[in-house]
Amino acid sequence: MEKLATGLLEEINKICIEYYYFNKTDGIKRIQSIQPQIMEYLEVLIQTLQKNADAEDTVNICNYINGVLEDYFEAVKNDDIVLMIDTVDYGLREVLELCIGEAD
Amino acid sequence: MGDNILNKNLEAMKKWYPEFVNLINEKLETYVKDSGISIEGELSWDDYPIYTVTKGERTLYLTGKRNVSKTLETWKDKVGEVMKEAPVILVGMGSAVYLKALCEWMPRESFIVVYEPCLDIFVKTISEIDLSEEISSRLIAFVVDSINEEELKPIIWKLVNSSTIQFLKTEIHPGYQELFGEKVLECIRLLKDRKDSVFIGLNTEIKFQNSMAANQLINMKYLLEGYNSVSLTKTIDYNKVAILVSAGPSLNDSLEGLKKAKNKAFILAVDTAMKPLLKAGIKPDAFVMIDSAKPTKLLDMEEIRDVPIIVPATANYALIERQRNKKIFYFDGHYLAQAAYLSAGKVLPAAASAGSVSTSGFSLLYKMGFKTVILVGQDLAFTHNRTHADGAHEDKMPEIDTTKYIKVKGNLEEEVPTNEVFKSFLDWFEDYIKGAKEHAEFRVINATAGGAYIEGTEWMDLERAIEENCIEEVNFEERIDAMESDFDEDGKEKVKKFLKDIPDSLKRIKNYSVELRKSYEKIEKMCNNTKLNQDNYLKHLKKVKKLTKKIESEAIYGIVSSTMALQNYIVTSESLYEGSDMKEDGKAIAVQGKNYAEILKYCCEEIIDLTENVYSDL
Repeated sequence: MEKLATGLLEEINKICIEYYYFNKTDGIKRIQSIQPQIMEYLEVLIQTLQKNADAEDTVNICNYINGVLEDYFEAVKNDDIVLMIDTVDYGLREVLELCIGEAD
Repeated sequence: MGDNILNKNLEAMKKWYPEFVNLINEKLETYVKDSGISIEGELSWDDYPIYTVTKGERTLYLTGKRNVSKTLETWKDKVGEVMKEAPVILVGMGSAVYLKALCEWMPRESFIVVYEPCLDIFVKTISEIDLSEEISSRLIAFVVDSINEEELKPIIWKLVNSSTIQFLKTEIHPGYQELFGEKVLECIRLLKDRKDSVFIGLNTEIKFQNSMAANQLINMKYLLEGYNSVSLTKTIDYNKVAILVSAGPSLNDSLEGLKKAKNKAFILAVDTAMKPLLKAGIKPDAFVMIDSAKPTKLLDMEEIRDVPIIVPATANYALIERQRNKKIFYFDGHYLAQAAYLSAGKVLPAAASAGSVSTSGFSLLYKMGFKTVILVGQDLAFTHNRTHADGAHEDKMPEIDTTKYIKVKGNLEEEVPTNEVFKSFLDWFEDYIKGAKEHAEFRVINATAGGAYIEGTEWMDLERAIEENCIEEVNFEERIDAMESDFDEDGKEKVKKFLKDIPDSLKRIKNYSVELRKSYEKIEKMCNNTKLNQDNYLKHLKKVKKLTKKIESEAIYGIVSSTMALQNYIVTSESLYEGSDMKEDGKAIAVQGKNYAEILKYCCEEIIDLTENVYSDL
């Protein structure tokens, strides 16, 4: 899971850097291309939380993930690169970082 | 609350541009929101005001909602350092978070231009976001669609020049490309056009710097003969119809038709059209040449030497001196020729240029008072995929691949291929014709057999244009042969005296440059001391200013400066780099100043020898 999260983060970093510094606006398509992996990660994360985490924490994190997904799909629907970058850089990133560095 | 913030913002703007505030107030009286878009405001998770804009089926965020603060930090990093007095153009205002961020970290002396393509966003922002502190503490120029959008071009033209171009920053607010793509693109195109024109000017200046200096100095001998474009106008005593013949690819299709215009219209050719014309047996009444480094090969036909030439003093002297007929001058902004005329109590008449022999020729004809100008061979495009008429540069001009070129409206075809340079000349023609028509009765018939459509002209077949307009017979050659000098004997003596003083003027500049260097050395020494004596420092800066004024007041300075074009560019653009305090600034000024003084001395030395040789036998 950490490997999946790290891989997704690398891709997101690339997309965000190219958007911020080089004005590349193809981020939505590129993020959509890794959507299956994002969904896989979120599914496994939620299952793990349901098994191991405190109920309240689980609810909070799940609500947060719902918010991220809502914004994600809204960004796709409107082809809104600003919302998409905001969602993945500040929303999805936090969710991915939950599973990075766990092994340390 | 909205009114309060609006009033505060307008009060702050009044300090800088009360007229703009009047325009805003006028607009607000009849303001109705655009039904095509709706704007919602909300607060980001970190409490910044942000907007979403709905247009049609889409709703777009103009700023992210989670972490605006971090986004602005990243943006600041991307924009990079902004130099003092450098222009920053922000396309799109949004909820002003980017504008406020800029104001926080940019030097106060930098200029911010905010172009807002959406009136609704502008009204919402100035009504809801307090920008009074930012607006009152620095100059921010707002250009808003439906209020003062016509000011965008003049502002860009003024701000973007050879000193500022490398420091210019342009940022497009997120979301604006998607929402207001056309207007954003228009703004970016204006910026690109301006940057291109600055670079073309700079490249031209650098390319021709040395030949221009030599040309001006040597051509003074011919200027002394006293023929100029006003004396030409008086001599030919005719202002009905002129034909400007350019060397566009369609000229070949017009040569037969042009024969019928001889002695029925004043025929002015551009230099590159001379060979094709003379080979077809058509001798123009005069031709115009502006190029300071024109290859002699392009005019190496014996018959060309007998056609009167109209030139600025910067044109290639090697070609001018070959001419056997009248050498007629006009003022193109390079001061030496004008100074020579003024010394005799006369004025050398001016014509605009825009960097092309066709635009110069056109301006000349307008200034000469012609009521109708017929354009021939003025393609401004690659008609038949060729750059010029056959015979201009080569006997048969090759075809080129124009598939990737920009397209413009054609005279005979729907679209024709052109390039940035031709397009800039096309824009010049259109602006010039528009301005000319506002001031005088002026008709432009475009009889170019192809090429780009020029707004303000009437396209007409050449045969018909000549038949309907070229009626009166005039022997222009005879009249020009009888042309008298604008200088009487006394005037000529005064001009000779002025020219003979040039070597001494150069020696004066050289001496000033030595003193200038010494002053800069003193400034540098002062700034290297631990404690800077401010009074002394300012005293020497004052001396530098005085010396610079003396140098620049010498009539020959323009020539010297033109030989330093590249060095000037480096020095003036480096002036925008700034040190962290007065001592650092002073050191930077001193280093630049010493370089400048050194180059100035060197250039003077180079030119003194030339002028002593050229004017010794006057």
